[in-house]
Amino acid sequence: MSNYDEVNSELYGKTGTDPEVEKELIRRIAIIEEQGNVVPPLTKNDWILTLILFVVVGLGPVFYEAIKLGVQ
Amino acid sequence: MAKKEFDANQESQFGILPLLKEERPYTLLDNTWINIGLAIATWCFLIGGSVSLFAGFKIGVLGTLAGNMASVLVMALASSTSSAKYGIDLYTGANSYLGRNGTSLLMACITVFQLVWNIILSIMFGRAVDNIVSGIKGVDTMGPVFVAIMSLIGLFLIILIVWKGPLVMKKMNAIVAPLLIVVIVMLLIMISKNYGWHGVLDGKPIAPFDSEWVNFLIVFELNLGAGLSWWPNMGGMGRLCKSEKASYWANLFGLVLAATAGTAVGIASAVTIGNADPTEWMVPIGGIVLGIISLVFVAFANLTSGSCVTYNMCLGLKRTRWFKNKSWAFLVLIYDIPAVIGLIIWPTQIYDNFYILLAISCTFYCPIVAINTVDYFFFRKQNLDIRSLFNNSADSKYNFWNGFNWVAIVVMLIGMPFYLLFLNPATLVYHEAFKYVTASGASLVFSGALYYVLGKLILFRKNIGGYRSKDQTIRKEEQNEY
Repeated sequence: MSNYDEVNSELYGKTGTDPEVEKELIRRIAIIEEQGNVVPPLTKNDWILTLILFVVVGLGPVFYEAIKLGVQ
Repeated sequence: MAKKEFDANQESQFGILPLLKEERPYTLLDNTWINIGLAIATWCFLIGGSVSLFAGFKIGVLGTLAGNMASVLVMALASSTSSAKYGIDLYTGANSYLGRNGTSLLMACITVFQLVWNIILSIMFGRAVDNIVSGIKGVDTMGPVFVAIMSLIGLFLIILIVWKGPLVMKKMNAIVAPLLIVVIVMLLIMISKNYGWHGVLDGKPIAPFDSEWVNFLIVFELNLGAGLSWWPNMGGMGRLCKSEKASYWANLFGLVLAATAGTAVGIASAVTIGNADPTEWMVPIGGIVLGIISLVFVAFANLTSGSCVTYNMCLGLKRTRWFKNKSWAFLVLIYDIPAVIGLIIWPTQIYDNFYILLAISCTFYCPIVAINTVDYFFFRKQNLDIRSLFNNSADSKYNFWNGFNWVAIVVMLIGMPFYLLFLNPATLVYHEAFKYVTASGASLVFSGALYYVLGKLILFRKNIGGYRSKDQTIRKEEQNEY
């Protein structure tokens, strides 16, 4: 059974949409499932940069001010 | 009457269909312009005005940058990456952690918030136009009726932009957003020319607390709240992006850097001129030509923000049974009818209580962002069952209890008042513990931890919500093999 048929047998009549929209929806779901990541995901470098920005620019000033002013 | 021919491309941009890679129009740059267009509006300046109550320019900008950075990076992680990965909007994705009926409940609340934002943005547009015309005519104001008519025209223009869809929004923002950056720089130059950089940098806060630490923390908190309240605007644009990078990093440039720059103008003008809203001083200080050119762009900035807010919300509403099979134009019109009514009946009441909406938003978005993040990263390991997202029947893995994930809903209901234990966002009366953990930070961590514990104890143990689904694991393995 192809992935399309499998998705169709699971979703047919259960999406609450018009038949032609549902048919297209099932086709797209089958493609997305086969392709896995449809678009390039974030890389390890993205996650590292996120962490650095969060700690240095997001939390850094708070700690800096806390030390400078004292939590009072 | 012949039925209109089905157009898959139209249906995917204006409907619930997940977008495939080749259909996605937004690069990182496109989405950055969209985000800048969303972030910069009169509201940035007003937040700058609030910041100036507690901090001068340097501390105000530092706290604003830190608050925006910390909140936007967390808020956008789950929402924008999942939307880009599967080509789905935020509310379709929400089925995986709230259930389809739980998502409808969430949308009912958010629709009210977003409609009020639309009203406020339309009024901001109306006021900006009033300042342009009165500047040209050399009078103080054209009067409330003129502002009301211009606000309605602003709303009509928002409807028109959203009706034309994401491609028009992309083109419009690619022109308006770079010019908005120029206007922001120009406004800072105008202020420094009149008051000197020392005047700006040495400007004193208007009504600070006694403790400098509390003042800084309030600024940080205000911007944490502002950053988290972008959450309902994620997803709609993320699904249009060609990569997760384009979906995620655009938020950094728009919602963090551009929003901080806009807020900086508000702070600078408040501590020097005594008025945070540049639309009211652009003409007197910048001169008629420069002032009016700047005003035109600020007026348009409210429309780009409004169109982004409306597009995201209408896309979400398209998944509901009332609108699923209706045309896009019909949906956008129906959605904005309450905004028209609000604009006609209560314009002043809504505009003057802008801060109360922001305050309620803070308490609302902390727990939902926490639930979204914990569910997507810790429970689902970044893998959603796309079939179940669109399966409206009881055999969907995301059916939970008759379409409601009561664990998430209970965490929401506990997480919202939890925020108030630390800070009343409307009056800014704070509790001692606020000085150590902030209110948004505490609410985020508490809600996330509570959802994690209850989720493991209830959802995983009872195998509700497809968290232990074998099918999902098998499909994931198949995808990896492929």
